[in-house]
Amino acid sequence: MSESPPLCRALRVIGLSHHTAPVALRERLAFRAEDFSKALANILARGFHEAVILSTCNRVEIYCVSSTADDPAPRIRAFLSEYHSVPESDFLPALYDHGGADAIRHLFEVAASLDSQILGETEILSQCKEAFRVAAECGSCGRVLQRVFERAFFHAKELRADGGIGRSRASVSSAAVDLAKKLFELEDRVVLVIGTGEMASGIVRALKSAGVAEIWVASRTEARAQEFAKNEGGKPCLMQHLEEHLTKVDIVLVSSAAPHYIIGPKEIQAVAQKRRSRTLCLIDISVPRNVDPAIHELDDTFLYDIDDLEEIARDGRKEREAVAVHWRPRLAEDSRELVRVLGGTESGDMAKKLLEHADAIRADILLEHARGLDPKTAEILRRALERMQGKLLHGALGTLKQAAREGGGADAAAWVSRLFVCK
Amino acid sequence: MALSIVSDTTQTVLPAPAQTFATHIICAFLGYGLFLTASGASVLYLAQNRLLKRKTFGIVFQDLPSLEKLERLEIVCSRLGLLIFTIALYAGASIATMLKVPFWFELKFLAAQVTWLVFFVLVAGRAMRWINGRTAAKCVLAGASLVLITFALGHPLSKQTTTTQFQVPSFRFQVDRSIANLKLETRNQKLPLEVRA
Repeated sequence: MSESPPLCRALRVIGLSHHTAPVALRERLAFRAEDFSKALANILARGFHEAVILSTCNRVEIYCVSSTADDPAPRIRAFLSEYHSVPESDFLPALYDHGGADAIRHLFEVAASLDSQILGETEILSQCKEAFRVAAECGSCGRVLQRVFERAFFHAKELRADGGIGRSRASVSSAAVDLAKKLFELEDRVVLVIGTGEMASGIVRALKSAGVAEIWVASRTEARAQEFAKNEGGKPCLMQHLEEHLTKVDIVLVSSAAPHYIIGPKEIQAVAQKRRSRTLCLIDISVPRNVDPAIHELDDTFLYDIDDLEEIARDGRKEREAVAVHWRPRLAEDSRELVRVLGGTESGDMAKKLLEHADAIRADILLEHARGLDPKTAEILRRALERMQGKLLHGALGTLKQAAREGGGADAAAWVSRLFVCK
Repeated sequence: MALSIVSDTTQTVLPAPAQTFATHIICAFLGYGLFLTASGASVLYLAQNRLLKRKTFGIVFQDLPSLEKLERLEIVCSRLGLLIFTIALYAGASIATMLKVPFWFELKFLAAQVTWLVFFVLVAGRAMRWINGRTAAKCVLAGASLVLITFALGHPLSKQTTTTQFQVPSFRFQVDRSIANLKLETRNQKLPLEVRA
C-alpha cells in the first residue's frame, strides 16, 4: 500500500506573520538566504516530497508536500524548533497551519500582497519568486508546488494589471509623489528640501526614484544640510539665498522645525515675475506649518500639507482594501479549482499506475502458464486474461474518472492505491 | 471662413478654382477640429486645476492626466490649428478676391478673423510666458466659442439672403434657401416665373 496521502492533506503551509507574531519572534525564526539549501534538505529528510521556505521581514512560512500519511505539522514544528533552537512553546501560539485549498489560497493572497502590512506593495511578489527559485535550484520544488507557485504569480500579476491594486497610493511618500505628478512630469525637475526631517528623506527618496533631476538641501544648520545632501544624493545650499532658489526650483519640500512661516505669499510674489508662470508645488510636512496656507490661493502655486498627504494615502488604502475584498473570493475559488485540477492529475496518474500494475501481473501469469501450450491456445489465454483485466478494472477506472470530475480525484487515487496495492 | 459665392450682378458668378476651394474646405475643417480638440483639453485642464486647488482627491482627480500633459495637448493643438486655419483663411480670401466677391465686412469672415486673433494671442502669449496656464485654457475656450459661432453663421438657416446662384446665358437662377423659393430673372428684368415652396 502507498503511504502517500491525498494532495489536500499532503500540501501544507505552516508559519507565522506580522498578523500573528511580533517582530521579536519573527526575527528568531527567520532564515538567512545562504542557509536555505541546508534548511530545505533538512525538511525533505523529515518525510516531505517538496518544500519552499518563504522568509521575509513580515513572515516565515514553509510550504511543503508531505510524503507520508501522518500529520506533517508536528514535523515542521520540530524542524523550526531544532533548526533555530527555539522552544516550540515560544512560537506555537503564533503558528498558523493551512492545508489543501486553504494553503493554496493563502499563497495566492501572500503573493498578490493581499496579506501584506501595506496592501498592494510590490516587494512580496519578488520575494515569493526568489523563494521559489531557490527551492527549484535545491531540487525541493516538485510538480505540485511548481504549479501552485506559478499560479500564484499569475494571479499577483493579474491583480496588479486588471485589479489596479497598485494604482492608488498608500503611504505619505508615495502620496506626495502622486500629487506632484498631477501637476507635471517629474523628469528633469529640481527639488528644494528645506529642513532635514526623517519623513523628508522618505519623500526625497520617492521623488528620486520617480526621476527628479536635482535635489537641493537647505537647512539652518549648514552641517546638517551637508549630511542630508550626502545621504540622499543632493546638493547643499544656503537658506539665505532662498529667494534665488525659489526662482529655479519646481518642487519645494519643507520639513523644518521652525515655529513660524518660512515662506509666505510675499516671497512667492517676489519671484513670480522671474518664474514666468511656471508651476510651483510646495509640500509642507512640518508641524507647526512653515509655509503660509495663503500661498495656495496664488496662481500657478500649489501648497499641500501633511493632512492632505494623509488624506490621499488613506483614500488609497481604502481603495486597495476594496480591491482586496473583491479579489479574495476569486482567489479562494481558484484555489479550490487548482486542488481539483491537481487531484485530477493525481487520479490520472493513479489510473496509469493501476493499468501498468495489472499489465505486469497479466504478463507474469501468461509467461507462467502459456509455456508448453500451442500458439492458438496461448492466444486464447492471452485474450481471456485481457478481458478479465478490463472487466476487473472497469469499475476502479470509472470511479477515478468520476472523482476527478467531481474534485475528489486525490482521495479516490489514495483509495485505489490502497485497494490494489500499487505504488 | 466657409466661402459664400454671393453677388448682385450675374456676370461675377464664376466657378471657383477647384484646388484652392478644396484646400480652403479641408484646412478650415482641420483647423476647427484642432481648435475644438484644444478646447477639450482646456476643459480637462480647468477641471484638474480646480480639483488641485480645492484639494478634492477623488476618482476624477486620479483619472485625469497631469496639468502639464493637458496643457501640452492644448498648446500643440492650438499651434497646429492656427497654422492650418491661416492657410484656410488665405485660400478663402484668394477665392473671394478671384471672384471679386466683397468679403471683408461679411460677418462670418469677421468672426473667423477674431478666432484667428484669439488663438494667435494664446499661442504667442504662452510661448513668451505672458499668460499662465489657466488664462491660456480660458483663451482656448473663448476661441472655441468663436469657432462654434462661425459655424453657426455659415449654416444656410442663418442666411437672410441668397446662398446659391448659378447662371446660364441670359438667365439667372436664384435659390433662396431661407424662404425656399425659386426665382427666374433676366439680367435686367424680373420674369413673372416665381415658384414658392
